[in-house]
Amino acid sequence: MDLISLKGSTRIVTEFFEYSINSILYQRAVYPAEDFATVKKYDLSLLKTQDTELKQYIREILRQVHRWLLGGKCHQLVLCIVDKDDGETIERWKFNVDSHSNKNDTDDDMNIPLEETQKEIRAVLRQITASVTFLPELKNEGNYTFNVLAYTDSNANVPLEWTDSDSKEIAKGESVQFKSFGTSAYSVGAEVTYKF
Amino acid sequence: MINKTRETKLRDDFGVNFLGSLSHKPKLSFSSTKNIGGNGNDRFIPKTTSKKSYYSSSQLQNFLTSLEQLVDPLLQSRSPSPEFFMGHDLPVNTLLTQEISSILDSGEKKSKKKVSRHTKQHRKYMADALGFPDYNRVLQFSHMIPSLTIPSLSVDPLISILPPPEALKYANAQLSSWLNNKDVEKQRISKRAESRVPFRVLEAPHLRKDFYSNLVDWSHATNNVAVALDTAVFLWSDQVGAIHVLRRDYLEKTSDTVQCISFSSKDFLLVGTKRGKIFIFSQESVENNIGSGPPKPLIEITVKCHSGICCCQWFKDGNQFIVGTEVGVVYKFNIKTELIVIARSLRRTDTLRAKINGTSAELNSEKVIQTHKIGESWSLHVHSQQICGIKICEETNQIALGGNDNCCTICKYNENDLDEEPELQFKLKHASAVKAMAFCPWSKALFVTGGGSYDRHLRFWHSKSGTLLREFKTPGQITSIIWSKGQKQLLVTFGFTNQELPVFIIMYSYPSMEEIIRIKQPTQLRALTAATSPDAKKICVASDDETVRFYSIWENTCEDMRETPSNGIYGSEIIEHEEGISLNCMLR
Repeated sequence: MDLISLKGSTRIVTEFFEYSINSILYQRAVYPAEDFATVKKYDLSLLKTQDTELKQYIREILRQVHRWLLGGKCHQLVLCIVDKDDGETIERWKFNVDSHSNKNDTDDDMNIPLEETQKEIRAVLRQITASVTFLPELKNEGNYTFNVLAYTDSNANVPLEWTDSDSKEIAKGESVQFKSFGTSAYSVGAEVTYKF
Repeated sequence: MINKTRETKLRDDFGVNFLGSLSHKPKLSFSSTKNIGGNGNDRFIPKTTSKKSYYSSSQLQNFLTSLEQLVDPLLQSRSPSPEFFMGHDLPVNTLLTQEISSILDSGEKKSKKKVSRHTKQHRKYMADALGFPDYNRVLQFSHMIPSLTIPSLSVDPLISILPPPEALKYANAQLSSWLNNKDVEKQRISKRAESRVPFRVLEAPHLRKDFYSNLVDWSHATNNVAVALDTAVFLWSDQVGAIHVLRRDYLEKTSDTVQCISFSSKDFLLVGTKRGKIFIFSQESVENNIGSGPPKPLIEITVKCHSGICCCQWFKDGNQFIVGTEVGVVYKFNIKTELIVIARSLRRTDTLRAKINGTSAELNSEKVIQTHKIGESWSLHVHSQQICGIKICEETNQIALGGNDNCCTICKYNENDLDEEPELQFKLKHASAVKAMAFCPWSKALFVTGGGSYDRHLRFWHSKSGTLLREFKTPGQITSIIWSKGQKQLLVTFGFTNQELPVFIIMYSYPSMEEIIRIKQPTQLRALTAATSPDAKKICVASDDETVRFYSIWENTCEDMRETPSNGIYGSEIIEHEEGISLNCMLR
């Protein structure tokens, strides 16, 4: 049984963010399908962007998120799909990160084998993919962009590229909760809120 | 002095009162409060202890201005901060008692809710003003440079009203929406705007204007371009310029012409002729022997059927190739390189059947002669007319043959034994000759064919099952198709097109088949053959105005797409980069 340390757990979470952000951007057609190529990951065929600029952008975001996660400073990551015209948030994908170290859990049960985590991640990613069926169609294709929000502790170090933001909530939106997955150090839940 | 001690004493008195029951009237006199206020400390600056007391006292937490109180003109002078605990006059007491009594009187829930909202708000303002951290910070990644100057952010009235963090957020939101509107649109378009003008045009006098010939190729080993001009063949190298490979008079004697040229992935250049001759040249020896007479081919043979060689495709190993002939037969050949070592001292000849690269240092003093032998391993007769195109996909072990008999055949060869005759898998029907074909580099099972002047359709096939996935109408006779390695795009060159709207090259995105680039010419210009540069970013096109045009097409893309999982240990470059793991280290 492979057990994963805190560092390994954080890697899994960051990696999951990378693939889920890519999946959402593809599934919701925020960027044209031509920019995405199939990649085998978690025993699934997932789509990952090939666009150099977008890749760099996501990389910059997740590198910082990875650092925050390692320091236990970040507890939520939100991907907002925003209408380019009026800046309105159309969809809000929320990922909660609960660190087990915060709780006074001394259970040894928290050691989750890698296979189990991967299985759960697969389930979440499948749900994200499947969510296209119930989410309202994004009508102005090509007229959306995305924003990533990180909820951090007040004492987190913030690089210059990151600025304070409002939470970009969707007023009176419908929410759908997805499955969650757990690693030895974190449990990550996903939820989408959309304009109804 | 006396005065001061009195003051402190009074303060102490007050402190006792303050912490004690509030229902008691504070033992404060008018004059004493005035004294405190008159000190110039008319703003309450909380210290840790007083802050604690402010928050810890449950009654104090209930205390605060409600909206009515703020609006009440009588109480306007009172600022809703705890400063008036320190003294001030009568209304303090009345206010306190009012507040408390109102809590007690009215329905508890309602008032509590009301109060708590304002309490919260008040606390938030206080915390903001004092620089207390917000428990939940929401941060947004903005890729703009922090020092970016904003052209005109006139003072928004909201910014001055909102408390500092809110104002900051508001300003950021304004800024980002402004940036979104300006920039995003521009970025996506600029990315796709590549050159539509050839960066180089080579004159190619006597270039035959023949759909069935393949008269230009670009070597991936040496970056040379070969062009066949009627009976002569030239090599164009960036360093030297044009080099004569095959003299005009050589083929003219037998009234023969060159019909196809092709580079192997190594040093070889193949020249095929109308009368079924195949010449193999070594680029290295051609380049080294400039000026010392006409270069001699390494090999010269004639195919069995003595009919014209229309096209050729090499296997990746660079020693094996397939040629297609005018009667529809394809031949596969092997080139075997042998090293003959003549040891001078012993005057004895040794023949080493070895790879060329292995034997070097020891042989310095000896004379090494390379000989090349060619052998035919199989022939296949599946087409009844000219073979117009051959493509090999080594991932799926398939050979695609395009014929003038309006069909394309896919054969499967034995991966372990290339000399075994391949097995016919599918015949793909078209409406005219098939010259342009391409296996997709980033999706193994995707195969595209382009029809001739009567057909004019791009057809996408699933190469493993021979299923037609899609047909797409184009404006002309398709002469070549090139997939981008880094993006989901394909480039199509056209021969005969619509007379009114001639088109030379179109680049489509796949699968949406949107036109990304359309290269037009004022007059009808036919593209005959196209070849890609070694880095797959440029193409050269032989056209019927006797020129070879070079276009830079995919200069902006840097990485190749791969169907296989992303490499690396964690499958995520982000993490590897962050944790300082370099792939090179892992490979060792």
